[in-house]
Amino acid sequence: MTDTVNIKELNEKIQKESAFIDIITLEINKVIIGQRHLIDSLLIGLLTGGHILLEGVPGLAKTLAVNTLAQTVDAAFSRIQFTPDLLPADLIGTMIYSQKKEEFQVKKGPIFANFILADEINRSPAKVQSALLEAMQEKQVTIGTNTYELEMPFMVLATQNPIEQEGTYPLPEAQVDRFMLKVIIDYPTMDEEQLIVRENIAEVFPKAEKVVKTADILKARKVVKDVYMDEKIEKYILDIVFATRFPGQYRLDKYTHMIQYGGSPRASINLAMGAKSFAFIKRRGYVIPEDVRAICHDVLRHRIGLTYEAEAENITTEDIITEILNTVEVP
Amino acid sequence: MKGNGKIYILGFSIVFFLVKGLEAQYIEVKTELDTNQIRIGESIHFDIHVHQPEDIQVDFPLIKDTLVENLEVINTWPADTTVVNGDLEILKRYRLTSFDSGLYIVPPLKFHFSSDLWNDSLESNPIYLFVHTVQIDSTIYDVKYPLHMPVGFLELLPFIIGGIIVIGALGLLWWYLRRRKKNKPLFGPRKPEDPAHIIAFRELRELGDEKLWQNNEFKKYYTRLTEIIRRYLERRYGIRAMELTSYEIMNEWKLSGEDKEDLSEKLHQLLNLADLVKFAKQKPVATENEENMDIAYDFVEKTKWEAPETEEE
Repeated sequence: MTDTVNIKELNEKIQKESAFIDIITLEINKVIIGQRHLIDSLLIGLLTGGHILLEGVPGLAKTLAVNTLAQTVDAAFSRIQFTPDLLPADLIGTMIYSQKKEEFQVKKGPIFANFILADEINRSPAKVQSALLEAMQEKQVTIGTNTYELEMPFMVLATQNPIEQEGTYPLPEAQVDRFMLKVIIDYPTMDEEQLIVRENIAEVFPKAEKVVKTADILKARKVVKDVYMDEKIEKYILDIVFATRFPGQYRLDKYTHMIQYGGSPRASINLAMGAKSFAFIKRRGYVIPEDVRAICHDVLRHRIGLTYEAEAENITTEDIITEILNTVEVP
Repeated sequence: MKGNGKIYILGFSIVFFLVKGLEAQYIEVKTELDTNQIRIGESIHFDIHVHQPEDIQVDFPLIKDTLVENLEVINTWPADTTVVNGDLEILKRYRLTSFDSGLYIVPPLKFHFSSDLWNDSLESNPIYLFVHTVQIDSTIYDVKYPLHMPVGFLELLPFIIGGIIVIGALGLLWWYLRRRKKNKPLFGPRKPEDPAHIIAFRELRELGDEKLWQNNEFKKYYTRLTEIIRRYLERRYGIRAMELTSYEIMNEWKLSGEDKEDLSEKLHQLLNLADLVKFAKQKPVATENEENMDIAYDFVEKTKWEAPETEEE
């Protein structure tokens, strides 16, 4: 078989560069039982620099998973508990007057770290959410008159409880779009839960070790960008995103009045980047349709706006994405 | 003589300039009708012509609805001014009519002229108009019958189309009733679609004839090859393979319960290589391409639908 040289070389390079993925996964699995999809999503975020929104009812190890991921990487980690009385300055920092030096000094906030765990982001009002999301987008923060670049890798992992719960401030649609993935965490299986119980009542709770350096992650990010994506896959991604905008053109007329707005170009970009990093995690140098489908729900579920008609008929974005995947032809 | 000569020249000059001055102040007003005789209701033009120097201001008399009693103004045009030899020729036109017979005299109209140095007025000439009555024919005639015009094709067209539709509908009804009486179905049996394996074999043959991989079109070849197999799975087993990935197709195929011998392994081999060609720029060698075509033929052959054998008495 005469393989094309660049793909062969790329495959070898990826085999080599993605070795740390197995090590991280092993470390995380020491602490987290099951939740394979959650771990894959965290790794995708890590490899693409995308931010992740984790949603699930309390007690599903959202915070523990993020904490564990941060423990495996030799990087600065901050955890910010979002509360209704949190202020933007509590997040990004402020100017403090030093009586000793008789001048204002910058006191940097917890956002100056590589990994930020924004716990229960929807418990804070819009101005704090906005400050965080701006920092996520710009990768820089302005305190007083000075602008400070955030150190790379910079990744925000926000958790939120379902918005139906009391005392929460739902994130605006435009700001949710800045999260690359929105991962819904479900309950563990019975077997998994049995292990979780055993682990938690044992004397010593396992702890993940630092196994990766930030330089490795930055290097891997470059390699992820090199993963080969064929034109057919690009077309498949565009078909999926366009089907969220113009369902009628994809034999999905029943959803024409159900979708208020579809995925933005950012959805297409994130779908492509996510598919590449998923291929990298699977230690492949090229993207296949399975990679796109694997991350499609996480990328699109927070980017499709539903109409009142859809809500009245109990149609969810999950239903729409599933139907799109079942209708759009796979290359 | 010399002194008398000077007097003559002076006198001649005074007379000359006086005449020239009078010539420069030449003003004329004239009114006229197209004709002086009309019948009741007919209309005529009434024109006012004014000839005047440019530096003179003229005020026209105000004419409203009637010129004189029963002589009505039905239209008015704006004044048309032309310059002739440095003087102005103004034409003001009205259209008149009358609905009463008789003799009408349009009295002289008064025009005021003024310049920086003087004011004056002029009157136009009076004119008459005779309006005749119309002879009424009081003879009683018979009512005239409508005229008979020839009927055109366009007028007949709607009736022709309507007729065709009615005849067609009646024909259909007759045909329907006849079929029903004979207990025959309305439409003949539809030509059945070829079985899935026949379509697949035909498409595989066509693909082979196109010699795609022989012309280095590997991607197109494997795309078509997998499409034929995917469509075959859809037609044969109802697996929506066109919307499934290779991995999902394998899962669905295994769930179908039709997995025989080494079919799964071969199908997986084919789909896997096709993915590499389609998405990873792989270029298989000739033997692989031929082998995969054979796998496709073999897969269809071993899974084709066969009619159950009927027992012969």
